[in-house]
Amino acid sequence: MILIFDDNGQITQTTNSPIPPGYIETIEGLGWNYLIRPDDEIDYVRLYTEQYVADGQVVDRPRLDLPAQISLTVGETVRLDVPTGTTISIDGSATPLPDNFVEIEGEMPAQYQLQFTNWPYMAANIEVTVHEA
Amino acid sequence: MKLNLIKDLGPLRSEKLAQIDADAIRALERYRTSSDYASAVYALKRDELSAYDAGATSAERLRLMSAEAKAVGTSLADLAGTWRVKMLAEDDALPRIEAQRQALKQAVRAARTPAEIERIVAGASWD
Repeated sequence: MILIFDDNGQITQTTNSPIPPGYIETIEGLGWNYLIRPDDEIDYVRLYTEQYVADGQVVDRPRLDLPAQISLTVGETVRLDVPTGTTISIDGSATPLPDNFVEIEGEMPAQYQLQFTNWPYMAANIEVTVHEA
Repeated sequence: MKLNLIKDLGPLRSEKLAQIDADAIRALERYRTSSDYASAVYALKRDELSAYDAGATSAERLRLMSAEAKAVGTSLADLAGTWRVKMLAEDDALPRIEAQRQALKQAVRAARTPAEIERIVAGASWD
């Protein structure tokens, strides 16, 4: 099997054996990254969503150390530490974080869906509930 | 970086204001159908009932009342009574429903959280 991946290690394509003649020469000519692996039983969903290529190996994507749920009262703030380069989406509106942390303050009582993304980390979803003070 | 959790209430407010309008129409339709045909019939019934109460009894003046009384086999007096009860109920319902519609919409416009908006609409009784 040949795995093709981008410069970030994200697997974009797989080709099972038998590999067609000239295939490797073609992808090398295109400058694509590839990895040859045995044709083991592959969990393709997991391969594409939870794994990536690092240092020539297929490895699990790391997970952000964040809670699944947070409860705040109005005016209360919580600090969340994240790796540099993380983007936070609040109810679908994305904001790149300039630092390796973010402070979240509950201003209006409601439920909010937060998502943190930062390749190769798995996206982390947090449901924040803000209660009346 | 600090981010504040706040909602844009515009879409929810618009949705609930439209729901209140729809609920009010449904509530009123328990008393009268909002079609052009029904409106024409109601207007004619009101006119003929006024004429009947003023002493008119001729089939020429009370064309609908006479025809309906004949069709259902009742007297003009009994039919007038039936119409009167329905009209009184309708006369009572319309201002009550409209007042509630306006009050709810004002409350939704003034609400400051999604939960408050939801509570206002969910708590409304149109009975």
